[in-house]
Amino acid sequence: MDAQLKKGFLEVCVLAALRNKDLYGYKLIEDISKYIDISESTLYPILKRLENSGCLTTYTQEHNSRLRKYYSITSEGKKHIIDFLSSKEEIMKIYDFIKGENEIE
Amino acid sequence: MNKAEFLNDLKFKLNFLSEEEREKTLNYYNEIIEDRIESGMSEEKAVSQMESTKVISEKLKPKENIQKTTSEKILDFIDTLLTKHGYLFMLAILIFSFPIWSPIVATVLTFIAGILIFIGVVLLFIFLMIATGAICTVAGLIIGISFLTQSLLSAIAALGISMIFAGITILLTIGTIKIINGISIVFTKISNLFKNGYHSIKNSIDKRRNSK
Repeated sequence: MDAQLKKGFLEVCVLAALRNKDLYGYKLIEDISKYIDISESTLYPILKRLENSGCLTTYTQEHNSRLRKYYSITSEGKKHIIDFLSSKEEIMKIYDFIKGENEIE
Repeated sequence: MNKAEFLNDLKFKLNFLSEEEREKTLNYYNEIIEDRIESGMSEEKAVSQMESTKVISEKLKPKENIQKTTSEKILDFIDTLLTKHGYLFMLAILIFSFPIWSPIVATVLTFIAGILIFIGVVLLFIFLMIATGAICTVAGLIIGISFLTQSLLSAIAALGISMIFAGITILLTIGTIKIINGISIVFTKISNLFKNGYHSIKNSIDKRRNSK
């Protein structure tokens, strides 16, 4: 997928992965990788951005005598997912336009 | 490369981040490697499958001139000029701004010289007075002692005058010491003011560099 387009999708993908349970960095990559290619260095700035914009919060938990940082979605983050889903029609319209079908006269 | 080497290398390459941000980033990558090892990879393999430290640091570098205010851009411009061309640039500024700063510097220097000369003259005057007082005291003593056998009254008068001079001299000396102390305190305060100003400017510049 085009890098510019991917960037926008990844943010929502991270939020979607966190929708049902809190996850740590490695697990997040593992979960999202099934759908979209993502590397650690791509994920990191996204997490930072989402945290800064209040879409997620973090906490640390001990695991095997070391600390693991968990990411947890906020209501703001959930709203972000809903906003994205509600723009499906808009996205499809653009998709169709690019495809060349159903052109608006 | 093992984990420690990888993180060390990354730490070095992330020197443009603030201490706090760098620590956070290193923790993130440390955790990922640990989790990879936990999922069954060897340490060597876990590290080798990471992106290179160069790629990681490149991705974290701030994009230039995006969403920056004009003043930030100007500060950045000065920053790059200073870091890249350093003293040469400073020298050029000094030379080209000569017509601006020379009269200011001349005025300030004249002012400082004036104050110093004034203080010098006053101190010289006071020292002369102390010296005169001391000489008069000694002279009075000698005269008083030499008159002692001839005329007791004259001797007592001379000794009395000598004592008066001694008193005045002592008072002058104490006063002078206090004045000199006062002046040195004022100068220390002025120099501290400059030092503090310099440090606060330096600190704010350092902070700006680190936050980038």
